[in-house]
Amino acid sequence: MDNKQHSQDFTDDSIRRFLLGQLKTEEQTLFEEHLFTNSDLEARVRLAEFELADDCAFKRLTESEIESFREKYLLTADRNHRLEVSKAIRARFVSESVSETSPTVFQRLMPLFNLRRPAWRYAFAALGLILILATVFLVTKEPQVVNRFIPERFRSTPHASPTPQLMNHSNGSSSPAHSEQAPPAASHESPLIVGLTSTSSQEQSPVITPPLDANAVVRFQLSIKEDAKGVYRADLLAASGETLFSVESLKPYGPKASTIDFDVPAKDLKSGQYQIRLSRVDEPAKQESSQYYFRVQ
Amino acid sequence: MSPAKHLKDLRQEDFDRLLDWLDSDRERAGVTYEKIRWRLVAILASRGCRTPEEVADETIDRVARRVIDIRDTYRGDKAIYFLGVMNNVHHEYLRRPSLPHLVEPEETVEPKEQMHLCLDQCLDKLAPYSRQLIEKYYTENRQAKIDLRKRIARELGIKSTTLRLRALRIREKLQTCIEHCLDVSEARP
Repeated sequence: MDNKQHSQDFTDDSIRRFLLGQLKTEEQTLFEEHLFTNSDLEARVRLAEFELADDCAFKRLTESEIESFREKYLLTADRNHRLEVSKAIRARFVSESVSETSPTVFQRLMPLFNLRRPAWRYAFAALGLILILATVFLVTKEPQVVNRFIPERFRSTPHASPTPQLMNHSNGSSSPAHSEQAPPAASHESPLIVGLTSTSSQEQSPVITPPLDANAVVRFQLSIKEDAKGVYRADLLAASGETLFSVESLKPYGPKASTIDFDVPAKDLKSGQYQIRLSRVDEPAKQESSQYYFRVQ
Repeated sequence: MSPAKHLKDLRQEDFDRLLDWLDSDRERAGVTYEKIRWRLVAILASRGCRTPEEVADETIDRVARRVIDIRDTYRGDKAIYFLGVMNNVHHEYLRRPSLPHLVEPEETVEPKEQMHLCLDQCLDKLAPYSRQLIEKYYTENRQAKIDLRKRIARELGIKSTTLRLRALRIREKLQTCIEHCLDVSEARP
């Protein structure tokens, strides 16, 4: 009983390290003394010798263990015989396909990627938490980044600001006409927005400077009566009355449906006086038109 | 291997005296002798001694020669006496000019055909339960060893540690059986 108890003082791992000559000096001395006096430990070491030979034959040893196995284990004829038998067992029980297609490195790495390991569980939980926090941060702090990932059709329609300076200035009859200096906009950028009301007279019309970019667009926001929903046609007319540009099927938008956007290519706007004629096309009874004036510098 | 084979330079009377000192019963003395020799070899190999069997035999040789002087006065575990002598012999061995390395067995060399035949014979001699256990234990090489053991132990309704011990004991029996089978086949004309 006492013998057995002392044998249990040495783990299977320490027995294995003894056979591979990997014990520290003080451990080695203690182990040697016990091996000489403890028959139970001796029996365990004998069995461990078989296990080690099997592990070598079945290619379960690490690189350092293989080296120690050659240097410290395979030093006797008996042990070499054990290894030979282990190899025969392996050849008998493990088919060639299985044994040859599983490289040692792969076998060693597989346990690391065992998803049932607690470490992996914690890692995935942490990763999930990080993803959730990052998403919340992006949505709240960086909406423009999120907007990039949303398909075009799902995005909310970008409405131009209804309070551009030009619009405000053109309303008051006492306000002097002035020109709006907009920076030239690239085709893919926001167009120059000009707010126009039909109440402004030709003399009070705002002066604009269209962008120089050939592909640029000037967006005229034409004020109409509230809730005058319908389909409109807009014509751009030169001072001579010649129609330069037309768009049909325009619809009002906004909370009170009081504005219609009319996009005109900037290249069609040369210096001079212009008129926009807005007429309703869906109901013949309401076909009265509104005029909006502006001047291009 | 018989004890006398190990001790080339030992006189028969010294060897007999050694066995008498180890145990008055000659058979038990032989078992004790083999155990002591196995321990010496295991320790020397673990220390990295290139010729553990040779140093172990030299140790036993020296003890056998000294038995005549110590047998009446020595008290305590006799095996421990061997350990002390082995330390001296090993130190002397370490001081010698290093010997050339033994030729290491080629790992790629496949076991002989006779080995396979003997293995099959010895497997057939196993009891059905032992045969089943050892087949399960060795068949699935791909899985991690510990997981595999747990699964087989569960299937057999035993603990993993019990499975390991049982499998290794069967493995030990197979070794003995195969070596005997090989000896017999070599002895045949």
